Amino acid sequence: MSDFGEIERMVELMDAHGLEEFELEEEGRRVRLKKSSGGHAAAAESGERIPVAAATAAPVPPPGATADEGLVVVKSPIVGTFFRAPDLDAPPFVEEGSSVQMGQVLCIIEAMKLMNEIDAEVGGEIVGIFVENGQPVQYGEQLFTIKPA
Amino acid sequence: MLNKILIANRGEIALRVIYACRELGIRTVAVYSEADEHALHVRFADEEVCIGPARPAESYLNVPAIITAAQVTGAEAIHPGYGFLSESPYLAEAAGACGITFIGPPLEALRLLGDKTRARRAVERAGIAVLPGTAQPPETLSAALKASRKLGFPLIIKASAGGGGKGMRVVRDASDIEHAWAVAQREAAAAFGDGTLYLEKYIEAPRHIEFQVLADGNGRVVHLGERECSIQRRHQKLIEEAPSVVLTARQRRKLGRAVVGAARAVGYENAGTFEFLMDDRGHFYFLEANTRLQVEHPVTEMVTGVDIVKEQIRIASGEPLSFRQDDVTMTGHAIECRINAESPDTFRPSPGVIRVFSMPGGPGIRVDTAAHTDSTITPYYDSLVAKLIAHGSDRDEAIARMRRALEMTVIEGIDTTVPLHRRILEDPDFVEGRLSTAFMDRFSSA
Repeated sequence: MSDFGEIERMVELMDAHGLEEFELEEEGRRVRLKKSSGGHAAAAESGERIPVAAATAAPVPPPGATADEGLVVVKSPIVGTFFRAPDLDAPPFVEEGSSVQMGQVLCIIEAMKLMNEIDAEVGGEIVGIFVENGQPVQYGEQLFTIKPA
Repeated sequence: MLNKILIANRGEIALRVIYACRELGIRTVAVYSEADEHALHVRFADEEVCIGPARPAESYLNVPAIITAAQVTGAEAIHPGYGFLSESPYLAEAAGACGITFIGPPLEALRLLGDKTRARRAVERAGIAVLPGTAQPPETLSAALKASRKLGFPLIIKASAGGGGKGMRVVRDASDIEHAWAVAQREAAAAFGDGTLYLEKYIEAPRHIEFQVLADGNGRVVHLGERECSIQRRHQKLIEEAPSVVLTARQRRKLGRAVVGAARAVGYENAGTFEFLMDDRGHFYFLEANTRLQVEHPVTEMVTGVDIVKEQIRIASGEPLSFRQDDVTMTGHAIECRINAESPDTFRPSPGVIRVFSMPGGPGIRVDTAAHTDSTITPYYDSLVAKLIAHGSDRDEAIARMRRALEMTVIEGIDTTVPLHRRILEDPDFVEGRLSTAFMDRFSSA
């Protein structure tokens, strides 16, 4: 594998979901990431397809599912453009680490010139923001994770 | 030429539009519901946007989601395919308001021909015969009863906003009209959000014959001849062919001129179809106009050599039609069988996972499908699995090719209409070309 960015994303995913181990197998390549006791991720890679027992592969939660350790995933209810702030000069609605109340506005998704405010379904701490300001999002796309209070 | 097109559809027709775009060097955007995440149209488009959950109302019928998907991907045009939003003035209008080209007719022509009673009046003014019927939809049952006495029986109740057999009831005598009117009204209101009905004289066992037209933005209109679609059950076409065995060259010229005139009169642009019923004395009556690409367009493509989808895109790009009426020729004969995921006897839908999918090839065979081994026919959308099209130098050769192609079609895991098609292709009346919309009655009673 030449794409370190991709590995980096996997490590981020592991961190975001609190995974100890992550394994990806596709078309002749296999990537296995395992956290050492110090909490760092160690990568092992092989060019051959190696049969693996299903039990060793930690499943990645699908977007929208409630993640491990009780994290709540906020996903986009519509197709549109993601905005973290009410306008260009304003500070973002939330940052990583912000604590939010249930019903608090997290972001805006613009669709057909309408600004749709997306609210927090639970109160808690924002632990992950997955989309850059101004990026398009599709239906069901993961926007935030919240650690419920 | 357009640079990027969003395809507001799924299944084989979304793939069909991708074929045309690839050949023209146009980038494509697929939209899909959560149920279609692994669908081939998503895989083969250059970009893809999930627009909603499986339910069509929240995804493939969701105009704001589709418009927004076009905006965020920078698509300049939307191809609506057939079904879903293909005849929706709302999508055409929203696209227009957002500076996106709707690949279809202008809004006004779409509205006019979409309203079946207005369409009737418009083509009648253009010199085409329509069936005797109510020029204005009767507003009440008693008005309908009065109109029915004037028309005589049998007659057919139709939905003004309708199509696809919904809101349609045949009434054979006055005592049946009250019940049929109520049922048709409920059906029409549920299917189209508009319970307006009208009455027409009903022809027993007619042939269904339709003309394909193409019109560019510079006023050039041509027709690509006819298709016969008489093999139907419950107003759904099962087998289509081109040309029709009953149409003489003279009739083709005459009807062709009439539909070209009607298309011009309503300011039509892009691809469209004028449908007719032919009675047993050879009289043609206008049925309705379809303002979109049709499922059965491949039979016309096979005999004329015109790629209708590419022409649609060229016209939407503002290019003139590259050929004249005199350049259009029909070579040989083409037949299409719609292979549906249905029980061949009860026509009950048969969704499920296709375990084995192997389609035939060889000379003169075309297969338009989005299915493959391990693909799923979901219960959310229509039951079309594949369109099998056979072209031959004449009708006999087309039939022979279709027979061997059906024999070599292997679809396991779901029920399909393949066995039914094989029976139809062996039927002496079918082989002799003695077709009518009542043809399928002999199979449905089983």
